[in-house]
Amino acid sequence: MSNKSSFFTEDETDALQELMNIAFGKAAAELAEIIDISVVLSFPKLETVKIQELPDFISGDLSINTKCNIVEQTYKGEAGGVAFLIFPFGSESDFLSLFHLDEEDELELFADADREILAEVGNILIGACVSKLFDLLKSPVIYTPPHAIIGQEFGDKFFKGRFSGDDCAIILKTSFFLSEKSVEGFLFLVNNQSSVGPIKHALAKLFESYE
Amino acid sequence: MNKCAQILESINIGIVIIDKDFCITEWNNWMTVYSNKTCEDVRGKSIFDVYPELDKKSFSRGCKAVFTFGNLVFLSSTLHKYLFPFKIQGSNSTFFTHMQQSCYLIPIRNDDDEVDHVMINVHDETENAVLDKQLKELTYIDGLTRAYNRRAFERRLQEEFARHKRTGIPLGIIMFDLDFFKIVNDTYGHQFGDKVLQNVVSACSDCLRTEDFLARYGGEEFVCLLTDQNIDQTRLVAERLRERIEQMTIEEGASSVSVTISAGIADSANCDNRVTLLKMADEGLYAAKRKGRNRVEESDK
Repeated sequence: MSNKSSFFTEDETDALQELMNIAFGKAAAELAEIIDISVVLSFPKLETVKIQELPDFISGDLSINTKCNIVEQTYKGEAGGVAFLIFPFGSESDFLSLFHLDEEDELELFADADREILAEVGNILIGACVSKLFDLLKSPVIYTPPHAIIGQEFGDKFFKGRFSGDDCAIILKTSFFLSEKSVEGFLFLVNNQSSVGPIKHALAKLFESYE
Repeated sequence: MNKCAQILESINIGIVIIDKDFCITEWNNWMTVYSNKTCEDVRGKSIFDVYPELDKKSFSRGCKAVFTFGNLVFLSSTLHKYLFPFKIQGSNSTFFTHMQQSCYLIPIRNDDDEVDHVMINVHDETENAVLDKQLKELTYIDGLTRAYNRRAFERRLQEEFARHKRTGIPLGIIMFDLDFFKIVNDTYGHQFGDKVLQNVVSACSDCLRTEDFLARYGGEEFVCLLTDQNIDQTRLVAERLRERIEQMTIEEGASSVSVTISAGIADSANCDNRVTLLKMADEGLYAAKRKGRNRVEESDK
């Protein structure tokens, strides 16, 4: 199913995997300090697939149920793309209890705050993981505001018309363990063909710096 | 004034720029209008000295994230209400004391590509928040009694039962209706009947904690959810409601009426789902009716 050779060579994939490991290690430590709860990020497993293969990949390899919660955030720059953070449907209540609000910020009844808290949490998690990666690649990105959706099917319909068939999804499967509570999330970075080049270029420059 | 400065001063959102020490470097005209503090008043000062209210977890967490990761942080008005405490004047002040705000914390990079400032964008969301509040009231509040309606109850029951399942904290329920209410309506008229219902809700509200949830289930039937209350505690509350209503007299001209309630109670112990919990309370209510009314009963099935 996956078609790694059309996007990255074996060396590039290995290097990207290694960068992810370093980036996520740094992100976890800094996240723990910022959100004031212990965070463990498992080493990400990196795979790349064509965008049209992503729905099958998700439902097959990652065993996400039909409905899930999605935080979507676009990052712009030479290697820009869209980050999707996927959590199981129902996890929003865990976030509400984990990410304590300020004491004076008592929520009103029926505040419908699940989407907001998911967006805020997702924003920080995406920011931590993605920014560390692109920092290491020395290819800065800027972000648009996050958008959260609760109970969405992450399948063909979700992607319909949004990406070209040649676009590439860099899949980072990682698990977040927040305050001893396991919340498994998946991070996908979808980059179009034009941004794969700058990523390859950034990797090449990184190789040179070690030579 | 250059073009950037003109945009900064005329744009209809608040813009504040702070450095890594949280000292203010920019403060646009929008902020001056709502804070009564000019840029000269605040420039160079710590934002926490100007507004000690900002010294809270969400803001410092957001700023740390921006400086550390260089990402954009969004603070929604739904979760945080506001960042800068700007008092509201006029009609919206009946809904909120302060301007409701959504805020963005945005990284500003220097020539070396390091984030050395954060730009705070402040959007006034008060109009939207008022509309949202009005819509929620229409959706969830019973127009006659001002208690929650059945739709609100169904939703609350679902949330509270899920919480009970997650935490094991008990959940009590009281279902009650007014005894012989049809006779009150037939004798004194429906307008007086409405007044009785309003008085019953008012009396119940006085006897309940703020976290308890009273709803009009339909007609003269009411339901009350009691978080963290087992069956014994629920019985005490139900008895208190029954006694309070029994002692109450409602007067309309020369007429003076007393009413009583029959109540069924249940708690979440031995209930697998919320439907069973509601059914047990309903069975208790019918047991109370069967046994002579003006009493509190559990299901006898």
